[in-house]
Amino acid sequence: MVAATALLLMPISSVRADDTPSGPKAPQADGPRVTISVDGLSCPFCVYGLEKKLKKVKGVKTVKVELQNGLAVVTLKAGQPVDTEKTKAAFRAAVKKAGFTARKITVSPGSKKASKTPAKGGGTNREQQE
Amino acid sequence: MNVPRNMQRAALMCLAILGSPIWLAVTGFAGPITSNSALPIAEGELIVRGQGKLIRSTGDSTFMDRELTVWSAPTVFVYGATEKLALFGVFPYLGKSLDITTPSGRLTRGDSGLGDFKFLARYILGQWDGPGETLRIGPFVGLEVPTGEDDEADSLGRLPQPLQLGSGSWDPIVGTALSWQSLDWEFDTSVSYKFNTQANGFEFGDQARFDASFQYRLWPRTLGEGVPGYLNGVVESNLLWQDHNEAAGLRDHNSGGLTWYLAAGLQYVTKRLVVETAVQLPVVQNLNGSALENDFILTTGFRLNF
Repeated sequence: MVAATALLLMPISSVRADDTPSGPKAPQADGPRVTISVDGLSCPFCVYGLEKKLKKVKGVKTVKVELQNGLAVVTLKAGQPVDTEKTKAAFRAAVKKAGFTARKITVSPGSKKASKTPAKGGGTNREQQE
Repeated sequence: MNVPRNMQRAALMCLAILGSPIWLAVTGFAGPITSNSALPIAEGELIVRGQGKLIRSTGDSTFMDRELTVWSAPTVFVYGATEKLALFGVFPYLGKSLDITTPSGRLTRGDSGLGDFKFLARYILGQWDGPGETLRIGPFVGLEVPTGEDDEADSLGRLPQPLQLGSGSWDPIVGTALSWQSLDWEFDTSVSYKFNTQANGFEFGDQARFDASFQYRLWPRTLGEGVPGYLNGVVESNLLWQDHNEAAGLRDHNSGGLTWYLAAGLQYVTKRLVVETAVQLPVVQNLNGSALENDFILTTGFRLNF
């Protein structure tokens, strides 16, 4: 009975895995990435407020903080139009509201798939530093 | 029956410690356990801190064998009005119990309930940020408002003022805090002064504090990827001075004095939660007159990022 149930379930799960128009699930493309060097970041408890402020910036998909290096790595949604200067200003303001100082902000293009997406703001495919 | 003056004095010193500026230790950072910091809270963010404090004063060599227990459970709400201006509200629930031997037997007097609320504002006047470290100075002002009961009585009559839950007075507070924090350690120091005013014909002596705290990351020894939790060892110093009280316009020469506490504690810090505990032991208790001295102060608490 158990074996029969397993046999019945196997095809279902395999259908689920492949149940996308493009066949096997493709790795999700990332949008542009913003790396922020945050000065004054020196304790785990303070990271939470910083993450919340960064996540409120328009177009943000994920935020990851590396405490040891004082880096906040923000991934934007794929296809997100990016005006580099406006993006930097928005993140600089978010860091300030969290009570810290943004020293250097780098905007990098996303993954290959994402970078094929037409960019409207310009500068998304070039790494730019401030 | 009146509480002996030296017992009142011990109660006063307990209250001064209970009134310690824990509100300012609630910041966007871990911070000290028993004293202030100048570290920030993000704009528009809320932090809640809960704390439990227990103070015991025993060892009375007289026939009265007095024992004083004071406990407090303040809840502190901190809101970041801007990245530099933080607003604090402190809402204590506390209890005071005095056991004393009399010719008619052992008596207990005391009360429990809401104490005096405190409201403070702190502004980060100076801020120097570097990679993995920050140095900040934050002056603050506040007011303790008479929300606690100050006219409670038991079967023996009105409780002496030091055993009341509230002072009945509006008491301004001023001070400043300095914090220097790195990835491995944090140093905080602060001075504060509380101007106690008169109520019910009684005026507690003004209080001055000088606090210092050093926190050192014990674990992990080396930082890995992401945001690891910290286990900090904490050493703190609290110097507390209190002026004489005045009752009916007369100075009470058996009140006030100087107390110096050293504290050791542990603190576990994550992104959303801090849990901590510390024990303060009196090193110097130079109280005016002959006072019952404090044995220890136990503090446990948590801080939660919302």
